[in-house]
Amino acid sequence: MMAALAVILSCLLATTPFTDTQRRRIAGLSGSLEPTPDTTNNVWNDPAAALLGQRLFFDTGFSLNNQVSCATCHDPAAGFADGKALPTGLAQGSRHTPSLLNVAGQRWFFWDGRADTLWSQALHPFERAEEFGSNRLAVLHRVHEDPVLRKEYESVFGPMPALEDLARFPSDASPDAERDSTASIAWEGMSESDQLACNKAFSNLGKAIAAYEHRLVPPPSRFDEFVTAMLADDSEAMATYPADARRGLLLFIGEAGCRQCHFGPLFSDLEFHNTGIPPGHGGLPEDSGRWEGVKLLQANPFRASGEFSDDPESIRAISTDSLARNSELWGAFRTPSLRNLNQTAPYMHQGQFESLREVLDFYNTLEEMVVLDHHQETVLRPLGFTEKQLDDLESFLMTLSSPKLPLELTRKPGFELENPSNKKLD
Amino acid sequence: MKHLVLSILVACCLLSIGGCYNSGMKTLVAPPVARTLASNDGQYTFYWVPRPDPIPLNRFFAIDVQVMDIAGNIITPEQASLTVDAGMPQHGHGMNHVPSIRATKNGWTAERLLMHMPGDWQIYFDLEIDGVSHRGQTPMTVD
Repeated sequence: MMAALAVILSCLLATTPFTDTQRRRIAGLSGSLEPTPDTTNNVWNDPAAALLGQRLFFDTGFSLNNQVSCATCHDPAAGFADGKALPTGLAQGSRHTPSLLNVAGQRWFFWDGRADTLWSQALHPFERAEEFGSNRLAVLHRVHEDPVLRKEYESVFGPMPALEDLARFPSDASPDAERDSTASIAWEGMSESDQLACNKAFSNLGKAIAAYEHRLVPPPSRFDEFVTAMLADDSEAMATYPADARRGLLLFIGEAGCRQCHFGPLFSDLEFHNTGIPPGHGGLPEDSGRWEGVKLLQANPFRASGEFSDDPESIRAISTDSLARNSELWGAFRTPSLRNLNQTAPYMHQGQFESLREVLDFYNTLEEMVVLDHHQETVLRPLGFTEKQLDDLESFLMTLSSPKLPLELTRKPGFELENPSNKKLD
Repeated sequence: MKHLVLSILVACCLLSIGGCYNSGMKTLVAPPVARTLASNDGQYTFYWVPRPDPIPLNRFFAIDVQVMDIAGNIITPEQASLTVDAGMPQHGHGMNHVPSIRATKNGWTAERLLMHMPGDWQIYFDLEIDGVSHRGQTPMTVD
């Protein structure tokens, strides 16, 4: 009797019309995920640049041990993340690898937002000791000496600097190398114009990688199809959306308060919050997150308002230059997108939670929440939901997963030619 | 009645000074009415118009402001300085950007304001004149 009643109630809920507010909020969670043009990168939509970028993305030859590429941590088979709590390049990193799916829709990059463009973000790993461990000139020499990479580079950006002149362009040099290191001294020995030319060429590599990453936009999810049906008043199509997911959706935009930070087509406000997530290492937080990120960003020569930007007066540039460095940003991290969560566990900036249920349990109880003082969202309260409500929320979040990207975007260009026996490998 | 007429006139004036959000539109039926807000000490009235209106969630917007004293005199940027800011008191945080302010013919335009979360915000207007600060604040819900 009770079971029958539950089924009837469930059917009724599935057909209950949304209020105007619910409808507006739901519609705001879908919409186009196609990235808007990045005017700071003239080649953001250039297919030739994207091809070069894809080649660079999968190339392990830029790392000190020839074994690490962008794809090492941003593995297409793992939703362009790595499935680990913390990444491993040449050494272990200190923050979880975010997925690159829909990445071009972000406003800031890295967990602390220390890059304001996708192309600027793509430059960081080359020179970081725990990632590729290389240096600016070594990277450029590698492109210069590789006939395919050089040809593709020059077809997009024009001639490279005269890197064959090793007296002017040492094999290893970088302004970001450790002080008094060989690479640092070599950089200081270069002329300003040669340094500028190298920085320009280096920024171009980032722009090519960004052109590729702009394409990592998966097809619509089950939820997007539901919203399309809702906007078309297609009740038949709407009825195919799972009832538990629909209940979870209503919790998401209502009682659960998730929408305070997770809204818009990316399910993120694209900004930074401290929700008291306990650090992976235990104890009190040591990572200042956005607090340091703002400082790093505004000092970065490759920022949107910098001299290597193709539009230093863009909205991105204005946005960076007007950033506040408020005390509440200490320990705040970027609101992650909730799309494709089925592919991107573990979760949070240090991969503290292995499963989505652990995330929901945390917000449901706020047990082990780290409260420093005024440095986090003060409106967080334990949700106190039942297990069934948490099931519904989880079901809803799972409908945000998209079908996979086309195969050609998930491999090194020319993969089939090099691996004919694996042509049909998925 | 005087204030209603003034607020409409001020709104028209603000929109013409500040580069109206809808300046390219030819189908504007009626000018928006400027919101009015008294300073906490009752000495001044802030007339303000957000652009766009309503204030969008998580997108930059601007506010055109004119200020009138209790005697009905318009306060100009030559006489006073103005800052505009916003915050979410319940969340204990403000905006993530520092708004810029520029003088216009008879007032100010605050730019680069961005309310990055839905919910209850407060907008703060601080007028400094003759070394004394006069604050007015108003609630604003963004959803």
